[in-house]
Amino acid sequence: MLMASLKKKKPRSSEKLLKRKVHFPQQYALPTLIACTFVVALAQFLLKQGSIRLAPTLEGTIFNWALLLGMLLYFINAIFFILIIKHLDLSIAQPTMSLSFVWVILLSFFYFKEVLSIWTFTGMVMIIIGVVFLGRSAK
Amino acid sequence: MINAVALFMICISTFLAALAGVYFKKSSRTFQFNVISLIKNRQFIYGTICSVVAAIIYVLALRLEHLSKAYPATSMNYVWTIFLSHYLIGEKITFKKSIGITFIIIGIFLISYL
Repeated sequence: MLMASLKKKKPRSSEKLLKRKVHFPQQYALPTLIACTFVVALAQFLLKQGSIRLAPTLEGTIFNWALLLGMLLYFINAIFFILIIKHLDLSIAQPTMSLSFVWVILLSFFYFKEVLSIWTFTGMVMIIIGVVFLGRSAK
Repeated sequence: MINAVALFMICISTFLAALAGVYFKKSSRTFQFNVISLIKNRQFIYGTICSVVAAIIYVLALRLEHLSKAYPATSMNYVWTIFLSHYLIGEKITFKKSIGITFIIIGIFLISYL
């Protein structure tokens, strides 16, 4: 009887959560990918903020919240990217990540007030056109 | 002009990064939020190793060349990806995809060089 009760031991709720297959609806793949590119841009922005106040000691690295938050965002992006390429073609998802360039330029224009040259603007428009072409080939 | 050795190293690095993407795509079929299943997932491990090696080679290449010249060369990654995913996973190379990637590469060159 003891053996039977041991065998029938119910999995804890946390184990259940971990072993459950991750369901990610297909129609959310493309919007999530674009959100991911924004997350990457945000992560780079935070890494830049962190590198400004970086102290070359262990303490200075561990308590540098901007650096840690940037790394965490990169990690979250990596997980979501694997979930996304389950449904999308890799040859569409990988180039679309270059949309983060556009977000970085917009962030540095509106937040750091950097000068936006005509060539940078043209490059930005080119990338957006390329991503639109890729997105249309997904259907 | 860009240093030839650095360009060759970036070539290898981007190839490995594209290969890592293909492995991640293969691993995504059985992906779970579970450390044990991630370690057992051989494709995921291969992908991780490939991307780590790619990052190391890229950093070594950056010792030979400035970042502003090396960065546009990393957009080679997209070209490798479209070919590798065609031959290894069987994704189709379409006209729209090629046009899109061409536009993106031109855009990256414009942003970084001019």
